[in-house]
Order: sequence, then structure tokens, then C-alpha cells
Amino acid sequence: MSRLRALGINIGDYLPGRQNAITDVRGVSVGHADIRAANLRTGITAVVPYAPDIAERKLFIGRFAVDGGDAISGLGVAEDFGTFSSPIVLAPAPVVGRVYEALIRYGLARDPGLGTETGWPPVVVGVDDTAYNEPALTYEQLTQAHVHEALANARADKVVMGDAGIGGGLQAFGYKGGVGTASRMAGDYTTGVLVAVNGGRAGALRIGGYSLLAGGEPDGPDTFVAIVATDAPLIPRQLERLAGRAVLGLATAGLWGPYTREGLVLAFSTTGIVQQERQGPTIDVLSVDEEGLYPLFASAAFAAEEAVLDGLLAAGETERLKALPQQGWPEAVRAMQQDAR
Amino acid sequence: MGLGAAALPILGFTGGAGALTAERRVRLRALGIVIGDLQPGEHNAITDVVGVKVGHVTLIKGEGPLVEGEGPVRTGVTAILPHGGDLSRSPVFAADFTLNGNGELTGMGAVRRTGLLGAPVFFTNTSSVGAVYDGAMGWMLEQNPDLFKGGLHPEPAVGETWAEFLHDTTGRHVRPEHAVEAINAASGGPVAEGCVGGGTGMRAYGFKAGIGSASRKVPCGDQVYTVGTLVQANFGRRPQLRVDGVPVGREITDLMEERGGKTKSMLAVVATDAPLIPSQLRRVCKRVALGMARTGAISTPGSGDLVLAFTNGNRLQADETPAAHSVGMLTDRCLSSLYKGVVEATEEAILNSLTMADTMVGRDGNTIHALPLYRLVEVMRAHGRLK
Repeated sequence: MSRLRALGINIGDYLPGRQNAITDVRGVSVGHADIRAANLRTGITAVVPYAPDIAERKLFIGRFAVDGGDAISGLGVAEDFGTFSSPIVLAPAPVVGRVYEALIRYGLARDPGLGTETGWPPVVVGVDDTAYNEPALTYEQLTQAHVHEALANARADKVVMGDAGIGGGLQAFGYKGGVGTASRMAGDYTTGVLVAVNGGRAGALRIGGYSLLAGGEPDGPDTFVAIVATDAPLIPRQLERLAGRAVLGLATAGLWGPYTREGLVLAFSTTGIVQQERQGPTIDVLSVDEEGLYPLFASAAFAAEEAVLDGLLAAGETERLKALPQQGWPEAVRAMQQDAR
Repeated sequence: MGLGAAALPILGFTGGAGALTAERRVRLRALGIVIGDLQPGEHNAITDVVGVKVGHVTLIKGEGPLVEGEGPVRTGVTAILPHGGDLSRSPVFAADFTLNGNGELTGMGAVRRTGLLGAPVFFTNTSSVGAVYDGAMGWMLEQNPDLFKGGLHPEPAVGETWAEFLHDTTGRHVRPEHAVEAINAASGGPVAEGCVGGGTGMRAYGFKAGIGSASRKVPCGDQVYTVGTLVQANFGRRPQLRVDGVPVGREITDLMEERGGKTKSMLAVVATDAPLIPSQLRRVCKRVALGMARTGAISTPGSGDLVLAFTNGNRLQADETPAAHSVGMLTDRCLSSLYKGVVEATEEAILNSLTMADTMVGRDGNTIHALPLYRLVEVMRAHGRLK
């Protein structure tokens, strides 16, 4: 199991951060909980945008949905205010409510004032992992403790990819899917992407533009979810655009294709608004100039594309689905990339 | 109803201004106060739209000081079913609208993607959204194990408003099974209003409020359609309150709660049997804001004023595999009458939530007074609106 870069294949421009992960954006951590039982192969992935012991912090967020997106909470605030203040939790769609409840409990335990002073709409994104899991079984066995486990496991350095967390039950391009991540540094800013690599038709995969014609198994759910984090100071409308650019990277890898049913990208900036109400009548908000956006847009697109490929490379073979084969194609891709130069 | 009979329903009035729950609670129309000129349906409720069912679970327990996790409890769950059949296999056209987005109404991703609502709608208090969603999802999976097959992926529509002034919001009092209880309690016919279901702990314009409903018959050519609204009202400052245009809130200035609070949201669901497509339903949703405004609302930055509208007059069968469905679509001329019905029914539903709610004492003895109906009638008379 190797990352794409270790195989000598680079995607696009700009250098990745230290971990080549969404956690290269300072303050962001990622935690998984894996759930394995008879006939159950699923999990929870939490993207935590700032240290979880901090209460009352709001960050800007922008949403880009391919055809509406799937089950999500926190949508009203995210869309109307362009802010959020919760971990973003990716979970199997049948248990969105339970995860929501778990996040409320988590917030209450951290912040006794939460129940009386501020609303706190948790951001929960439902992911279709029915390629592996019967919804009724997921509903029966996934508990709030799994959500708390994912949050407790959150780390700001290395992100476990592939079958970890929500990656456990994903299928992509007819192969085993999973969680992937990557990052880019452009100018003063770092932008990272985490993708639940799910969907994509067999034969649609493109690695650095190279088509891997060999197909996998029949198609699974055609839905994906991606989270983009940046430390660039962007306002919500800019973050919506950043999220949209991440979709370009997903499309280049083939994950967003003609058959995609739905998909969701959330982009947030860690350059936050802290305790808005306590800062008087106005607060200063930084916003990157239009020209400064384009390197960030490119960062999001390249990191998203690489995250898809690294997620696939990290996913292990299961009884039902093969992992993406790691032989045969890297030489061809390298040769093609060299010719292009 | 003749004006002479107007005060009759509240003749049980016995107390002074500060008395608790001295009056019988009646609906606005029983006081002789009529909003607009369209006729209401049989029950003047959202259930006048044939097939629509409403059920409440009301949780009231304990009194005295707040002990987090124990109570006092002043909350509940209200379930609205677009029709009595299997919603996930026979979804209805729907759309939503956010007037001010500081709130939660789950499931709107699916509604926006497909224009279809394939699940019940629930109103509860803010901290119980997850539990209600979870219980609803369990019920939906039992109804239809193939819920996640195909492209629809219906999600429960769970909305909330903030009950903190009366209720132990930190405690986890609403459990998933309460969502199922509310579904099982759902029926057609008259709708219980005031301090019931999700509206139990709510207040509006400094008075006790909660659930309210109303309906209108909408003539359109040789057809008569029905439109009904159901609201969970938890918004507004006293001086803003208007009843049929009369500034009642500036005339009844006592009976205030001891301290202010952060209640300022309204949830509304609009049901109709008129043939509409989702883009029309989104336009219908916006008219709810006008009905709100007539009662005095300004929709503050802290409000979660969220609206969902559906029609069960265009019902799809998810299991069928035709190349295309034939769906009806109201002309703009008729849409205008429907808009009027929505505005009138929304205004009246909000006012019903006030006239039907009893005074309630909640945690730490916090008290929200009922709108005194006797005095409401007096104010309306003084303004020449009632004899």
C-alpha cells in the first residue's frame, strides 16, 4: 500500500503539506471509528475544524451540492449564515439522527452553557454505504459511542486512509472505496481535502489522466462527499466557489461523472470569527482578493483529485471487492506524464 | 358566527388580569375575529386537506428548579403525515424556504434534490432533533426495508424551535420512540393546538403559544382546492403583536414574563391538494412569511423561520417504472387565490396558537401567560372591529 506520490506520480501543481492531508491545515484534526461485525462493515469519520475544547467559535463555510446532496443537518445555518461551529461528521445515512444526538451530548459535556445560551446545529453528512451494509443492520448496531470514539480519536497529524471510518463500506469504480486525503500549499495558504471515495463507474477511473481500462465489479452507489479545509481567509461565497473547484478534481479522477446521482462538498476556512456576539457591533473579516483565489481553487482541485486516488490505493481487498491493483499502471502513468513534460 | 355570540365561549372567565388559566381557551374564530374572506375548511385545520394527519406527543413532567437531566420537562413531538399511505413509496411534491436560517429542518437535501417528500414532518424542541430523526428513521426502515434502494433516499423532516425558558433543554427527555408515538397518534379531523406536541414549551409575542393550524378553501374555476397550514410559533416581541391589523400587543402590555429570552423562531408546514410542481410550492412557501408579517413578525437574525410545503394532489408512485408521470400544474391565475389562502391561513394559525395556549409554568417557576381572550375581545371592540 503506497501513496500515489511514492509511486512517482504527482497530480497538478503546488507542493503538498507535511502529511499531504487535510490536517496540514492548522487546527484541523480527523478521527475515525471502525465498526466491524457479522454483515456489517462501516464506521464514522469526524473532521474537527478546531480544538474540540473550544466553545463558541464560528467558522465560515460554503456548500456545493451536486443535485442537492444527501442527508445533512446544520444546512439551514450553513446556507443562510455561512457559518458553522461543529465537527463535521460523515456517517452512514440511516444513522444521521443518532449522530446528531451524539454530537449534542458531546457539546453539552464540553460546554455546560450550550444548552441554555447558544444553539449548536451539528453538521452531520449521511453517506450511502449500502454497497456493503444493510441499512437496517447499520441502524441496529451503530451507537452514539461510536461517534464519541471517532471524536476522541481525532488527530492533527496523520490521517488513516482507505478502510478507516466511513471508508469501511465504500465502493468506487468497482473496487473497494475508502477515505482519501491530500493537501496543497499555495502562497501563504494551505488547503486540504478529505474525500469519501464512493461511486464512479467501473472503467471511469483516471489516474493522472491515464485511463485504467480494466473494470472492477458492478457499480455501487453513485454518491460522494468531500470536505475542503483552508487556512486562507475566505468568506462564505468564496468558500462555495472553492467547494465547486474541488468537484473539478473529483471529476478529473472520474469520481464525478455522467452517472453520479448526488454529491456534496463542504468547504470551510479555519480563519475564524471567534465569539462574534461579544465583540461589539462590528468585527473585521478578512477576505482574499479575487486574484488570490485562483491558486486556492487550483489547490482544492489538485488535492481533491489526489485524495480520490490515495483513498483507493489505501483501501484493502475484501471478500466482496478487490482493491485497486497496484501493479501494471504506475509505469504507464509515469511515462505518460514524462512525455507530457 | 354572529357577533352577539362572540364572547360566549369564554364566559367561564373568572379571574383578574394576573389569574392563571382562568379562561377557557378557544380558537380565534370563536371570538368572532375572522381573518380574510376565504372560507375555512370543515375543521379550519391542515387536516382539511384530505389525507393529511397530525399527531402529538406531549411531555409535561415536574415543576420547580431546573435540575439538568431531570426536568422540569415541557416539550413534545408533533408529527404531520402528508397522507396515510407509505410515504417513501408514494412521495409527494414538496419544497422548502428559509426566511431566516438560524434553525434546523432536516431532510431538505433530499427535498431539494428530488422535489419530493417521502417522509413525515416533525416539530420538536431544539435539542431533540437527533432523537426524533433517529426514531423516525427506524419507523421508515420498518415500513420500507428498501428505503435506500433507488434514488429517492427519503429523510425525515425534523424541525425545531427553542424551549429553554420553560424546559430542561439539556436533559435528553425526547426519545426516538416518541417520534413513533406521534406518528401512531396521527389522525385527520380537528387538530389539538396550543401547548401540545412540539409546541408545548413555546411562546410568541410574550404570550404562551405553541401549535396552531388553519385552512382555506380556494376556488379555482369549477374546482375548489384546500390549503392548510400548521405552525409551531415561538417568535415575536409583545409590542409587535397585531391581530387582524389591530396593534393588540401595544394595548396589552402587562402579563410579561420576568425576563427576556432568545425565542424567535417559527416552523410552518403548508399542505394542499392543489396540483402544484415543486417550483410552485417554493413560491407558496414564501407567502407564509407574509402571513407571519401580518401578526407583526420581523424575522430576527436569531430566528429559524423555516417553511415546508407539499401537495398530496400530485402523488407519485416510486415503485412504478413508467417513462413519465402526468402531473397537474395550477395556472398563475389560480395560484394567486392559493397564495391568498396561504397568507390568511398562516396568520390565523399563528393567532390560534396564541388563543388556544394555556398559561404555563415551567422550570425555575418561569411563567408564560396566556393571551387574555376577554381583553383581546375588548381591544378589538375598542378598535371598532367587534361589536
